[in-house]
Amino acid sequence: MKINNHLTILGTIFLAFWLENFINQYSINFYIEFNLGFLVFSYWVFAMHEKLQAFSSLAYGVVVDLFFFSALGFNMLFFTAMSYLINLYVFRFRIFSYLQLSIFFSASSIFYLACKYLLFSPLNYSYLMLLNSFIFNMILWVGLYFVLRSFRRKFLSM
Amino acid sequence: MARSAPSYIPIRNYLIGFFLSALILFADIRFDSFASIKGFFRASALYLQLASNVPLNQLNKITSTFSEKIAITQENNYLKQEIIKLQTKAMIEQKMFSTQIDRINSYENKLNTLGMKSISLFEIASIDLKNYLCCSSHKLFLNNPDKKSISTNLPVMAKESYVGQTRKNHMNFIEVILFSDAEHLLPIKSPSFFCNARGRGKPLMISCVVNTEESALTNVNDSIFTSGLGGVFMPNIKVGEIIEINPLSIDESEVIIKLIDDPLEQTLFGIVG
Repeated sequence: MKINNHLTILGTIFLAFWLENFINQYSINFYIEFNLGFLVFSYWVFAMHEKLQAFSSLAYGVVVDLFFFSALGFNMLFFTAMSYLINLYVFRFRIFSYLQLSIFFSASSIFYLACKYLLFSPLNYSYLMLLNSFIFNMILWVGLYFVLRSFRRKFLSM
Repeated sequence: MARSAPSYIPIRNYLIGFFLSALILFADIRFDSFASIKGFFRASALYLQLASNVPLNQLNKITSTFSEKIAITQENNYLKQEIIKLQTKAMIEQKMFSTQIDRINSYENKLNTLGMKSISLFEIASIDLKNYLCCSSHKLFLNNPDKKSISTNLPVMAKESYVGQTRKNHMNFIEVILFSDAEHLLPIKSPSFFCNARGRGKPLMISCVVNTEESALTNVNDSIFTSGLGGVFMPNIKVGEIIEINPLSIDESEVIIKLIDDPLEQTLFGIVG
């Protein structure tokens, strides 16, 4: 894959993390946390699984960790694991319905969220927040899927 | 259906990536091994943020040149800034002065404690909002354009009270750990107990565990003051109020305290040292 495409993908992931930070400062009061960045990354791996494998995931994870003030290694770990999982079952996912896909991706993002809270803020861990976030991330995934698909078809040439 | 044939997934690469990330994560959380790299990137990101504001500010200046009231606006802004600075400084000095008067009354022989400490005012550069709202790490960054030498662990004051301590210097920025950070301990006292309050990882919240006898004498809305133990913070400065008392066991209760100064509402912070 061309370096320009990598930069475009990284740009969308950055934008998603930035938007997520912005939205979550309001939504957290209602026990909802959007996982936009992680979902956008998952979409790209899902859509371009042969181009985005272990090394790309690791590299994206390092950059996100460094620029978004997380503990170094956290996004690296989850991006690599998610990339492996998607690559392993990508052809099974292709025959999934949108509902099944959104359940899978939302559940993955909730697992990411739960680990984040357990590692960095166990006092704020809340099942209510996880449940709410699961529902809202499910809805978000469907929207993201269509937006990013049209973006990919328009701007990303392999 | 699939457009391409199933391909080989190199599990070895994934395993290497997985273990490498886990190792880095462990080293970072357990030993803070990458603090300097992360500090460098934080400072760079802040520089980028500040630099991106420069063209916008220039554009604003150009447009306001055409306005007749530019001089008045500038003067007004300058005076406002000065008033805020003076108010914050006066508040801190008043607190320090009153504390020192108390000390003199209590310990007449210890006149050497009268020496005033210097206060340096710094503007906020950024607050790590993502972690502040969700996680246990609560840090803010102050602008230090003159690269003043600031030691670590100095108390940081906002408008009415202390809010945290200096932690590190990254280029022209001072990292401040807030009281609500789960790693921070603050020696406090109330009319009925003394304790080291730990940050709860929630905005403005700290808590401490007291025994049942002490908690029986404690009420919601009681004021909480710095105890001065440890020698970092001056005693008798109000930092918060009790909002909840939760029994933990037969012998112990958890007292939850809400801090009075919200760092999100402040632009200037004083470092006392």
